[in-house]
Amino acid sequence: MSDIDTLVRDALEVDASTHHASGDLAARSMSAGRRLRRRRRAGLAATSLLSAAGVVVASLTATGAFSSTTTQRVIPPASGGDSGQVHNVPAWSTWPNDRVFGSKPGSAVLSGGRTGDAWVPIASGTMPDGMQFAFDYEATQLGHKYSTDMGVNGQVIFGEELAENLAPAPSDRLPYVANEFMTSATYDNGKEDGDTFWLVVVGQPATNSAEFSMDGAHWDPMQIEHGIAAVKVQADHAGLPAAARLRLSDPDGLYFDGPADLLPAPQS
Amino acid sequence: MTNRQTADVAFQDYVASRGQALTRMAYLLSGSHADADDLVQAALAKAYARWPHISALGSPDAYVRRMIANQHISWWRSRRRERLAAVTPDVAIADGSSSHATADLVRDLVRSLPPKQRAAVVFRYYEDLEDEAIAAALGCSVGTVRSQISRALASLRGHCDLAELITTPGGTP
Repeated sequence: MSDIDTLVRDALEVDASTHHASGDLAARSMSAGRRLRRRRRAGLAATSLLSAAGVVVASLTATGAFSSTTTQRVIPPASGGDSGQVHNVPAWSTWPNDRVFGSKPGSAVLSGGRTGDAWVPIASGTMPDGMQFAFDYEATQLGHKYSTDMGVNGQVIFGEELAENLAPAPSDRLPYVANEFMTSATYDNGKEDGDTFWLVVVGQPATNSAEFSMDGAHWDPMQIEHGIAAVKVQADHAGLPAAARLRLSDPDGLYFDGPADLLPAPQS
Repeated sequence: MTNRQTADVAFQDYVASRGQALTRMAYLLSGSHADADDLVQAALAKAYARWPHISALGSPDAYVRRMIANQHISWWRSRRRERLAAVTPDVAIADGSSSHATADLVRDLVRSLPPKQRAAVVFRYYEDLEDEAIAAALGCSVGTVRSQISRALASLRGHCDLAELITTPGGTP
């Protein structure tokens, strides 16, 4: 005779011992985990952005307009070392190193804007659903990889970097830097298909108009503030289709009209 | 080694040390070897995608355990019809002379419990979790955990084949 606790405990122990984990559990989980994150695109920032204010913090309000704020986390300026909140959190720099976004431009970053040992900030902000984003270049000793980070409540949940280092060439400029950041709902639900994400485009500092088209025929205006444009997009887990296009304008007129490529062609 | 590679190594170390235990727990929850692997892989995939955040919390087990439990209950709901058929008490008649037969009987009875009761029982008797930790894993109150386990044990005790094998705290079968 046994008590019920002992019977149950022993039976579970015996039953559990019949199961053996497959040897490639980690590899399969990591592969599936990477698929969950395969929603991003990246471009490279216009050189002038790198030498701009250094920190751009913006939020898109529920009414659709951006509003400046200083209450969100801040990427330290290039001269600020790693003292800022973003890079004090080790997780901010632990993004997959396994994605290369198409062919790398010959060079993308002005030497004047990316020398030194500090991280080079490009932009950061907060979306209406609380998703936070950041664009930056890694420090010299880390190879000047372009990286993006996404977080909630000031804590990083995703990050990504280009796999290749970027060689500087002062003559090269790129019109914008873009990335996809999951919406809060998509992040919570972990959907692999039909995901909704924020497309964030950091254009030239004076950018005052931005439009996005998923198919190249139908255009939607993007909310814009501080030269940062954002729009909520529905797409499958492969990200934007090849037909997706962007139009960016500043006070001098249209300065970019072309495919929403991961790496827009550099402009001299 | 980059930070990313360091995180990958940490994740692989975690799976190497905990993968077996997690899949065994998932097997007890699901009663299926195939589902156990799928449950754990799905949970670990989500955990990997958020690994810097999860590992920073200091208790990946609690996070992964909860994901497995939620996924299991979700799957159970979506497959309810087939599951009900699958767990139709296919219970061996134990004569009490074989501990193996007794274990099989208890196993089958535990598998026939509703999923939340089963999960509570597995977490208490296999994982040796405190009620607070079980509540966290199941997303319910401690009181609910205790009532779930109480009902589960009452159900087990009520099974005629098992009742003969059980002593009560007072010594009366």
